[in-house]
Amino acid sequence: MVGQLQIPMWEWWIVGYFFLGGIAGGAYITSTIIELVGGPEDRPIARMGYYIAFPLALVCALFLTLDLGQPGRFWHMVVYSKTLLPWPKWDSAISVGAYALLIFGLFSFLSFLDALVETGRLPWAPLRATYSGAPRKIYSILGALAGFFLASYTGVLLATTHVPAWSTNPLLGALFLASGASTGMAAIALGLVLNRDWIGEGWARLKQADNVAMILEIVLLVLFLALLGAAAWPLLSGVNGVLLIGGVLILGLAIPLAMQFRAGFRGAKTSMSPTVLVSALILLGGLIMRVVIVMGGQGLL
Amino acid sequence: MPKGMFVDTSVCIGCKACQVACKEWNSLEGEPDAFQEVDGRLKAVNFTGNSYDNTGRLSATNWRHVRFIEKIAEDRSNVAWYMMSDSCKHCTQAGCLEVCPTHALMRTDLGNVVVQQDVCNGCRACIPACPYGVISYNQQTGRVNKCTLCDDRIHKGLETACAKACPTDSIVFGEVDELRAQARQRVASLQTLGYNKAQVYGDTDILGGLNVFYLLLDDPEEYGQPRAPQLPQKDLFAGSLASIGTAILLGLSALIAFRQRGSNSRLTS
Repeated sequence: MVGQLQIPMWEWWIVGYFFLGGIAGGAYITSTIIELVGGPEDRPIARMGYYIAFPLALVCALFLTLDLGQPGRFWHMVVYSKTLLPWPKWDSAISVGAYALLIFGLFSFLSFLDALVETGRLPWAPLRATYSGAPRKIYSILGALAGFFLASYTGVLLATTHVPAWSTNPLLGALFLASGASTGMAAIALGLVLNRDWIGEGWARLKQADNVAMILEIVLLVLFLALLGAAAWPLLSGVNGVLLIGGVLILGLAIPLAMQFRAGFRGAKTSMSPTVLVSALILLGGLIMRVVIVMGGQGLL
Repeated sequence: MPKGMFVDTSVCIGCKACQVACKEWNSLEGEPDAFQEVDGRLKAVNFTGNSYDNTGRLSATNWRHVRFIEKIAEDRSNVAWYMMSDSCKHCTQAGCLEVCPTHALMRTDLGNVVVQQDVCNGCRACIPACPYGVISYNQQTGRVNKCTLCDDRIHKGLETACAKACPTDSIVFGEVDELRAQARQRVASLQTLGYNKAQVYGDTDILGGLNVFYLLLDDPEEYGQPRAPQLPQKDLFAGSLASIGTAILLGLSALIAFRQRGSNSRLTS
């Protein structure tokens, strides 16, 4: 209970879904932008984004299903069970979000397959013959639009409730999107390093874009908390405050940003260990932010 | 014409007959959390400790809750004891109905809002969408529950169970427009008697009008009701706009970053 309001008891499955959905959306959007304007040297970055996005979309669908009181009725999200026809509800963030996840799943699957075909990891000849450069760009753009929605609607969903810590201002969707972008790019960087996929100057581009996302995230987080006023108290008091300021703002954003700035705003060729650390910190910060906002906002921490 | 209820709190005596009638008609179980086994015997543990109100709140098995509000002056010279039989208001603009992704929440031809139990999948989006804390998650069924305005009874021409049981006619069932006229008359009469704060809560000024509305003797906050609740989607447009703006900024920065890569490549070549 928050006052007389009842809380939805959204806990770890939803935290996980919001976090991974942000990464999937952010990684896919990054890949699409590279698809559109990047050079051939940047292809490994784009492919890593696709490798990350589709499996995470599957995990998101699983988490969302497991959170339901009736998991067997997960399909009710997109099909009205009495007519067996799709019936989207435009006023409902969760309804539109479910469709977005479905569409994102479809396009991220196509891109995932494309990346496997491109690198020869999927050697099935008919499939290889089917894929070409032009449709790749088209479904990437469509997937990126769904990815944008997936990364941000979770915040809008929380903002369109009566829970004061979520709904006092409308910035949560924007904040989750910026966080999705920064964690998505961090996941790509981590994937590349762990895969020992050295991309030369591509690092600088990826880090430059990631730095902007983190700066925007800091601005949005501070603005979000400031505009909440007294409603920010559940998020800033006790362990939540320590997690949000210490875990998100300092450990998850300021320190990685400072470490990346040490190598110059546009980054530089960095050794493996700082990149792993920076990416891990950004991802950890993104996770903590969702834990505090989702669970702390309901008074569950 | 929508059907609803007028709840006149000025004649409520807190007998809780409405709660009992609701439980009986709808076959609602006792509150599992309200009892604990102590020394091999079940004992009630749901005393709030600061009020005669031992129901506490609406829940999946309490679709009606008679609120007891004891207002006692510091020097105990003055005591006001308000009672209010609270339930779903069946709002004309119902946030729960708007956000439900499965269309499980629906409005019937008589204006009442019900949860279709065979459609609800327990996503719980409706719970924080209700400004009154009416909708509750049922751990046993994995779905949500709330007052149906006795949907089965009213579609057979009967009044709601709570209104039927109320011994003082504090709860009156009927056509909403007629009930509103009755409520306004009652407010005027109470104000003549010196109850200056007497007011109708839930006229058309609140969420398009509450089909279950109240006569209060004091400010809505005294009864635990929000003064001017709004639909939760009020910020949907602003939130979407902020997200789109952020997407444009992020997209542009990534475009610039990776486009430089292309330019550098071209320069080099």
